[in-house]
Amino acid sequence: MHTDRHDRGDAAISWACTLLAVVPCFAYILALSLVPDALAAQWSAGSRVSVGLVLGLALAAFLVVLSMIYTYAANRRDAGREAARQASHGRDREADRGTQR
Amino acid sequence: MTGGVNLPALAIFLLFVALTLVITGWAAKRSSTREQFYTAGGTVGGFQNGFAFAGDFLSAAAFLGVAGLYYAAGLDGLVYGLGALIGWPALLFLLADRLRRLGKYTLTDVLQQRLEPRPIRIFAGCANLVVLVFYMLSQMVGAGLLVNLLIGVDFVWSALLVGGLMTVYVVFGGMVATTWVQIIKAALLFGATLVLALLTLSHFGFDFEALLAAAVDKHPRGEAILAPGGLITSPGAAISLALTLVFGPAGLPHVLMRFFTVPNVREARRSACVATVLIGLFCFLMVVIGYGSIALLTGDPRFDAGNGLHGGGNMAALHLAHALGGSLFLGLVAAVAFATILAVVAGLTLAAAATVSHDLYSALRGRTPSEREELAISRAAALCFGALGIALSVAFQHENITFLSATAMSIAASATFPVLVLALFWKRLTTAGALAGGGVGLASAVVALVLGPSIWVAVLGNAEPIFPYQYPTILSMPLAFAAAFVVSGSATPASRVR
Repeated sequence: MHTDRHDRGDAAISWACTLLAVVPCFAYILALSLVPDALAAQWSAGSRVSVGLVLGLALAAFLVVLSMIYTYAANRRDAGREAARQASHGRDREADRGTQR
Repeated sequence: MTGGVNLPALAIFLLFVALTLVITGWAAKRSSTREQFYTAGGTVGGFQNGFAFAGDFLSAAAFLGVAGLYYAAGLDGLVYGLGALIGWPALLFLLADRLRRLGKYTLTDVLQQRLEPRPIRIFAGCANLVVLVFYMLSQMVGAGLLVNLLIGVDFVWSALLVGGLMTVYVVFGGMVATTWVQIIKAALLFGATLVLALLTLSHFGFDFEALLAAAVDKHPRGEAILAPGGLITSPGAAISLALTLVFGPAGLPHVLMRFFTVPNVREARRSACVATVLIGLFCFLMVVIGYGSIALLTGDPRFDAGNGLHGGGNMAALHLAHALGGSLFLGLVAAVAFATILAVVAGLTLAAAATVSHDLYSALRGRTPSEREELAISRAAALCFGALGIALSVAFQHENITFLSATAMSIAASATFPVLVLALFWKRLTTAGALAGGGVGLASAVVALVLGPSIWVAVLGNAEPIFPYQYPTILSMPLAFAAAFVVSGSATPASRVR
C-alpha cells in the first residue's frame, strides 16, 4: 500500500517532468515551420545572434538543468526512503530481540 | 586528403585499435558468465556508464553530419544537433527507474514481467533486430566512406576492417570491452570537439559575435544562415520529426540495454543524467564548430572546391581541424571520427547478439539454454551479425545514410517505444494488445517509409510521394498506441490476469 502510493507519486513526477521537457521541444520544432521569420529576427539591436539560435541553445541548457535537478531530487528521495527502511528494519529486529528475552 | 594516406590519422587510429584490443583481452577474462557478458555484471559506475551512453549515442552522423549541415544551411544544423539531446529527458524521466528495476539483460526481460514471455520475446526480438540492422547499416556505410576518404582504402576493405574489429570486441570482450571502448571513444570525441571549438573561438579572439559576423560575410546565403532554412516545410513534418527525435531513442535496444549495466536505480539515473550533460555540451560545441567551418573554410581553395567542400559536406569538421591544427590535428580528429563509428557498431552488435541468444533462441526453441550454451550462441550471433553488417553495407554503400538511420529511429519510436511505455504504465495492456500495437507500428512505419519521399521519390524515381513526410512517425506511432488500446480494451478480464 505504502509502496503503491510511492509508485503513483513517482510516476506522476516522471510524467510531469517529461511534459515539461517535451512541450518546449515540440514548440521549438513547430516554430521552425510556423514562424521562421520570428526565429530569424535579431536577438538584440546590432547583434548578429538570431532569436532561433538563442532559443535553441536555451532549450538545450534547460533540458540539461532539468535532468540534473530531477536526478538530484530523485536520488535524494530514494536515499531517504532507504535510510527510513533500514531504520524501520533495525527497530523491528530490536523488538524481536526484546520479545525473545 | 581525399584518397591518399594520412599518416598521422593512420598512426592515431592504429594506437586506438591497439589500446582497445588490449582492453578486449583484459575484458575477455571477465566475460565468462551470462551476466558479465551481457551487462558487465552490473558493476559499471553511473559516471562511467554516462560516458558509455554518450559514446553509444553520439555517432559519426552527430559529429561529421551535423557539422556538414551547419556548413551547408546554418541554423538547420542546430535542429539536428538538438535531435541528439531531446530524446534523453524521456529516457531519464520515464524509463530509467523502471527499466533498471525490472530488467536483467535485455528489453524483453522488462516486457515479459507483464506479458506472455514466448510471443512477446519473438515480437520484441524481431523488432529489435530490424532496428539494429538499419542502425548498423548507416554506421557501416558511413565508416566505409570515411576510411576511403582518409586512408584511401577501398570500401570493401574498410567495411571488413570495421566489421572485423567490432566482432572481436563483442565476441571476446562482451559488455565489459564494449563499455570501455565506448568510454574511451566518448572521452576522445569530447576532447577533440572541445579543442576544435576552443581553437575556432581563439581565432576570433573568443568573440562569438565576431565568429558569426565572419560566417555571415563569407556564406553565399548571408544573414539567412542564422534563420531556419527550409529543413522543415510544414507543421506535419515538424511534428513527425519531433516525435522521431523525442521518442526514437527510448526504443533503441542498444541504448536501453545499457541501463542494466549499473548496480542500482540511482546509478541508472545518474548515468542518464551524465549522458544528457555531455550531449548538451556537445550541442554547444557544435554551434561553434559549425559556424566556424563556414567562417574559415568558405573561399579557401585548399578546402572549398567552389561548388562545395572537397570530399563533400560531411568533411567540414575534418577540414576545420586541418585548417586550425595542421595534419597532426586532422589525424587526431579523423581517428576519433573513425573510433566513434567503431564503438557505436560494437554496441549494436552486442545488443543484436543478446537479442538472438537471450530472447529469440529460447522463445523459438521453447526451452531455456544453459549458461554455457547461451554464451556460445551469443558469440556465434555476434559473428553472424558482423558478417551480415559487412555484406549489407557493401550492398547498400550508395544509399543515403541519413535515411537509413532515420528508418531505425522511426521504427523504434513506432514499434518498440509504444509497447514498452504501455507495459510500464498501463495495467490493462494485454499480450494481444502489445503484439497488435507493436505489429501495426512496425508495419505502418515500413509502409509509410516506402511510400514517402526517401524511397518513393529518391529511390524509385516517382514524381510525388504518396505519404508526404520523410519520417512516418506522425502516422505509425499513434496507430501503434490505438491498436494496443483497442485490442487490450476488448480483452476479457480473465485474459488480462498475469
